[in-house]
This record gives sequence, C-alpha cells and structure tokens, in this order.
Amino acid sequence: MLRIIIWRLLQGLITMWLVVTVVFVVMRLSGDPVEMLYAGDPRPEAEREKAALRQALGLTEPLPVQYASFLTQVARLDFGQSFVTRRPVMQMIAQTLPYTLRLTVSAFIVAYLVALPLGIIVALRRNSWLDYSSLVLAMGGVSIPPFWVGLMFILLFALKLDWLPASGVESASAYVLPVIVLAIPRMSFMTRYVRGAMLEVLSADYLRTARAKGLPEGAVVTGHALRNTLIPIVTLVGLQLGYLVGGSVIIEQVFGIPGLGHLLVQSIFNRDFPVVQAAVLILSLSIVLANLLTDLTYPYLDPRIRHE
Amino acid sequence: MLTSKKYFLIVLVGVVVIALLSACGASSEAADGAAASSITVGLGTEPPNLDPRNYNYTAGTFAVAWQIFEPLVYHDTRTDELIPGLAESWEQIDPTTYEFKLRQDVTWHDGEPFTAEDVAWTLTRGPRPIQEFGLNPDKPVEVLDDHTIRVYTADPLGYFMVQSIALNLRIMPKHILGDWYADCQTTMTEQGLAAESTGEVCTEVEKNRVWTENIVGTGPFKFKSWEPGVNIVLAANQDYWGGAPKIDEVVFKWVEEEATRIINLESGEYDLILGVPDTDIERLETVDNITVLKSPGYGYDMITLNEAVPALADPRVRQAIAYAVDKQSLMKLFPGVVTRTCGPLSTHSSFYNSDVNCYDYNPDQAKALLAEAGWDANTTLTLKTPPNQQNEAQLIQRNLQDVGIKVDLLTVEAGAYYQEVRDGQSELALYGFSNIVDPDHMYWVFHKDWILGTASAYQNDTVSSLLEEGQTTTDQDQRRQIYNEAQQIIVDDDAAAVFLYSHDDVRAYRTDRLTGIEEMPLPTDVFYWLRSAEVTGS
Repeated sequence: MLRIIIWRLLQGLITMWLVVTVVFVVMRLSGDPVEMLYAGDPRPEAEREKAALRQALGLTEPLPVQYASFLTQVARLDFGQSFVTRRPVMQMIAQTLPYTLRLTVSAFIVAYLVALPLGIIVALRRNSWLDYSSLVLAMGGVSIPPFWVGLMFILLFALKLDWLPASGVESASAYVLPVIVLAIPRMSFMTRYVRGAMLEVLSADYLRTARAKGLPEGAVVTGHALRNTLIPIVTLVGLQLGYLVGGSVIIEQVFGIPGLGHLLVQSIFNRDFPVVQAAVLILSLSIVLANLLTDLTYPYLDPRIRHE
Repeated sequence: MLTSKKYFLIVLVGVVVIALLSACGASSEAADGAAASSITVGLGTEPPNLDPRNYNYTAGTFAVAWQIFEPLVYHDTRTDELIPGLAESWEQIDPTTYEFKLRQDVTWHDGEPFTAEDVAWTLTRGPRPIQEFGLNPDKPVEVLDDHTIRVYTADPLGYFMVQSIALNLRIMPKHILGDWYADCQTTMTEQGLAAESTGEVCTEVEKNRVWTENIVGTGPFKFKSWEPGVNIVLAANQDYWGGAPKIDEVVFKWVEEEATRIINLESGEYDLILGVPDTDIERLETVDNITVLKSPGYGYDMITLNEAVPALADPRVRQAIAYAVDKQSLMKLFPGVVTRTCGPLSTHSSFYNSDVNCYDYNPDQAKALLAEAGWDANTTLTLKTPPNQQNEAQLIQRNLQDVGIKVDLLTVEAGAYYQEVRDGQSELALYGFSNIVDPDHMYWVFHKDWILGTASAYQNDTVSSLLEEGQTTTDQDQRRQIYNEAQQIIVDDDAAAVFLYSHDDVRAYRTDRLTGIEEMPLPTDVFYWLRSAEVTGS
C-alpha cells in the first residue's frame, strides 16, 4: 500500500513538473510583461525605465538561468513576487484559495448529492417519464454553456425575483447561484453516468442471486447494487474535480468571485509569470491529490483491490 | 461492509460540515459596520494599487485614489479654467518660474500639517518626477516658507499648469513616504541595481508595497480598509478643508463581467457604476431610477497610415482613404456615445480647430484621388486591430474595397498590439487616446522624433517645429494659433491619419439613492463630484 502511494506521488510530481515547465516556456513565449505594465506609455524615458525594470525583475537573464532559479524557488516553496502587485505570490494565492475551495467543494457536493440518488432512481424506473425527462435535462445541463446559464440565473434570481445577490462573496447567499451554475454540468453528466453504471449492475448475475435468496428489493439495491456501482463512480471523482476547477475560472469571472481562477486569468493577461506559474502548480497539485485520494479509496469499496 | 459504508458516511458528513463552516465564515467576514450613509460603487476590476499617479492607467485606480489625494490646482476641461486645490493662488513669475501659495488649513488624514515640504518632496523625490514634470534638474524647487513654494522648469512649458500640475501631480505625504523611499533606494542598490535606476524602480516597481496600505492623503475621503478581492472602503474626511462630504462612506466593489455589473446596478446592489458597455446604454436609459451620465470624452480614435509603406507615401492616397471611410456608419456602432472629430483633438477641447477638412464620406472623390495618384489595384493593405475593434475594422475594410483598395484584416492580441503599432509594424491600424487635456499631446503623435511619429513615419518639419514651439510657448492665445496651424497641415495637407470620433465617458447611477450629481464638472477627474453628492434613499 505504502509503495503504491509513494509510486503515485512520484508520478504526480513528474506530471506537475511537466505542467509547470510547459507553462514556464509558453508564458515566456507569449510576450513581455514589462511591455504590458507600460502599455500606452509614450514617453521616451519609458524605454530606459523598462530596461531597468526588466533587470529588476530578472527578465534579462538567459532562459535556462531563469528556469533554474524558478525550480529552486519552487523547491523552497517560494514563488517570488508578482510582477504587477509586487506582493508575495504565495500570499496572493492564499487569499484567493478559500473562495475557490468554497465554490468548487460546494458545487461538488451539490452535484453528487443530486446525481447519486437521481441516477439510482431513474435506473430503477428505466424508460419511465422520469427517466426521459431527466435525459432531456441532463443533455441540456451538459451542453448549455455555464457562462450563459450564469447570466440567465443572475437575470432571473438577482434582478427579476431579487432573491439572491448577483455577485460578491460577502454572504453565504452570494455563493448559491455560482455553486448551482458550476454544479449543473457535472450533476447532469453524473446522473447519466450513475444511471448507466447502476443498470449494468442491476442486470448482473449476483443480483439475481441476491433476489433469489429472498432479500427485499431495498436491500438488494442499497446493499449489493449500490456498492458495486460506486467503484466506477469514484473513479470519476478526480476527473470531475478537474472539470469543476476548470469551470470555476469562468464562473468566478461572471459572479465576481476573487478566486484562484480569476487570479489566473488576470495574471495571464498581465503576463504576470510568477503568479501564473504558481497558480497552475496549485491547480495541478489539487488534481493530482484528488486522483491519489481516489486511488486510495478503492480498497474500501472493493476488497479484491485490497488483497492484491 | 459496514465499515466502508460508515467510512463513506463520515467522509460525506465531514465534507458537508467543512463546506457549511466555510460558508458561515464567509458570511461573518461581511462585517461592514453600516455607516449612516454609505454608497457602493461598482468598478470593472480591482485597482492594482492606489498610486495616484499610476501610469498603468486603470480608471478604477483613479476613481479611488483621486478621492484621497489632491492636486495643487484642478483644471476644468470645458472652460479651460484652473480651479484652486491645495494651492489657493499661483503666479507665473517668468517663463520658467511658478510660485504657489498653499492653503494653510490643510492637514493630512493622520493629523500632520500639510506644508510646502510635501510638495517639494513629491516633485523631487527621484530623477523621474523631475524629468517628467520638466523641472530644472539643477534647481527644481525652492521652499520660500511653510506655505509658499517656487517651481522652476527647465524650459518654458506651454502645458505646465494644465498637464503637469493639474493632471499629473497629486501631492503625497513626505512624512510617511520619505523614509520608505530612501530605504527602498538603499535596498535596490544593495541588490545590484544600477544607481541611476533605483529612483525609477522605487517609484514604479515597488510602489504597490506602499500603495495598498497606510494610505494617507488630504482629500475629501480617507482610506479606511482594503480587503483584497472584496472591497475598498473610504470614509468621509470630516476635517476636509473644502467641507466634509455628505456621504459618510464609499464602498468600492468590482466585477469583471459587464452584464453582472449592470444587473447589480439595476437590482440596487451598486448605486453607481463606472464603465457602461455601449450596447447597454440605450436600454439602461429606459430603466426607472437609473440615470446614464455621459460626459464629453477628451480623446479620439483614428486610423494610422504608415507613410513608410510605399503605397501610402502619396498624400493623395491618404486623402482618398480618408474620404472613403464612412464615419457616420462607424459611429452607429456606438449609438449616442461618440462625437465626430475631424482632427487630432476632441471637439470639446478649446484648442480644437473646427476649420479643418472633415473628409466627409465621398467615395467618388476617393476614387478620383486614387486615379490621380495612379493607384495600383493589385496592392493589398493590412489593417491591424485589437480584438475588441473588429466590427469597426470590417466596416472600414468594406469602405476601402468599395473604392478599389484591397484590405486584409489582422487582429492582434491587445498586449502585443500597441507595441507592434508603435514599432512601425503596421500599415493601417486602429489607434485611440483618452484624457487629452492639452494639445501638446499632438507632439507625442505627430512630431517626427516621437513614438507614434515613427509608427506612422510622419515626417513634416513644419509640423514638428510648430509642435516644438507650442510646447515652449506659455501664452495660451499664441499657442492656440500655433496648434490651429499644426492641425491644418496634419489634417488638410498631409492627411496624416484618418480621424474618427471621440468616445464619451459613460457612468450610470441610481437616482433613488444619489442626488447632487451634476454633469461632471471635471471630466478627466473621475468621480470628482462624490464630495458634493448626497444619499437619499435607504
């Protein structure tokens, strides 16, 4: 078990190293941050100042030197200072992280709280009107862009009905709309997925056996079917978390949430290399960790994996 | 089996509890002590800092910082008058010497008295301000007494009072920043930065360290708090020399998405917003309790014509392009919020020459001029645009094709765009300016040695010397004549660019919440009128 964890962590580290390296190179190909800071400054002295600034920011060093010092920084868990705000990058990220965590974790819970029971119910009532209407809703939920759904929800719930605030983070109610909008695509997808997994299990031989030995249908479903359905579902948790984190970038923009996704987008526009690098590192770390957790959960669900 | 079920339940319950706790945490953070009268202003983005003289211009920075920091004098762009600020009177003693008498009743927000030393420090704290304000490096300022200061410019400067003093100079507290600035320079030198660069780096690079906390000014509102990502709160300065503002507290919030910002205004979350998208103005004007404030913009948009491109070297070709562009159709893209301008200044500027040729849409004239110039119909020009101006570019492309000029469109990402155009890597390009308060701006754009001058390769010695003359002439009537002549040559003779229109500045506010908001008295001073506005509703 320990060997597996260590091996997984190693794989995760390599993944993160690859991600961070690609980001490092791509960001530097994308443009000059000093030019962005001075955009539209037409004074002749600006050129001299830009040169001084590049030196101060370490942008005049050759790329391999910059890369080496970046890796040493990462190893020391110090990501330097933002080019734009000049504040420590870790501090900026620490400030945004709680907002994104609240948003994504809540959306994750909402999505699963709806998708699990609903998926099971529609599997049990296959081809009923409930099944068909959930199919239509799920198709819509997956295919309508969250950006648009977000704006429509704001129009309806914030403006017309005036039930909830359209943006902000100062009250728990401000999170309601973004959490639901972020959860909808995942919820829709997972409902269909749970339904499919459940149907597969329901037609398995061991369920026929369970029924044959006289177990009530409720016990068959919760005791035997559900548990076996969970394995493929849990496999997807890590992946779903990745989608949620990606989706939060847009949702944070629409609802004015000062989270990590918002910071990432702004920093990309500003060519704020240190912030982009650190933000991407944190995002990839969260996905690597989620997948690791998923792997560690299997043995609890499936004794066969535990014994291997 | 039971254990794994339990395990799952525990995990699930745990996660739910954590999420709920964090949500509660979020709500308890919202401890904004509701002041007697408080308004909420919606901005587009969070200001990176509150440096009142930030070149990395964001309207949000100025909206907040200019409530806190004040200039010596204000400039009323509409009447061209100077209004007393921290200086109660001023006098030009000779072409390069100005004497300012400062108000005696002003204190900084922390209670320290405001004196001429603060002005002197703000003007001379490094090589950059001295150069930027055009001061005499050997003797930039002279403090005569606590409330009298003389400022010496290196050359006579026609724009000095309006551009340098009124627009660019906000007085900063020496007693707070003086030591920090000296420390910064020492640190930067220790880090191996060339000595002559430390001043610039400390002013520009390190500014965010001081401009996000402990912010002390003299203005009508004082800095109260800044929760990063959430809001900035300013409180009324009860001791303000101009009388305490009637609003006790101004809360600045921001949301990037324009639609959300507007809905926040409509639902009453925000009382006032900065930056209304052109497409929403007509609709917002019909909404109850909301007024859209349009104030004349002091900038202009143009199409640059790079004369270094052989096809554009003939002035007749440039004039043909100017005639071929249907400006009225372009203006329909911004219904009600742009004003046509025929030259390199906003029509609202008192230096605008209204006698220049407007090149009213005339495709026949354009074709005639092209024929005269022997235009080769196989030539293709490239029109470069930033991503948000593609609609305009497509109209222009069609206009030019109608008269026989083939045009390719090239959209360039905003960051690279301005750099490329300034480096001369463009044939035709859409370019714009805002907040031009002094005609000396033309020097930046049309003087042969200047950055945009090189971008369009515009080389007219007469214009260059006129612009130099205008810069060093301090008699404003004389300047007006100089700039009239310069505009005539730039527009009529040379068609150095195609001048399009200036954008109005648009804000919107709730009439059931705010009164006393007049038309912007100082169009370039964002939210100047907040000091006199009143809160009415709840």
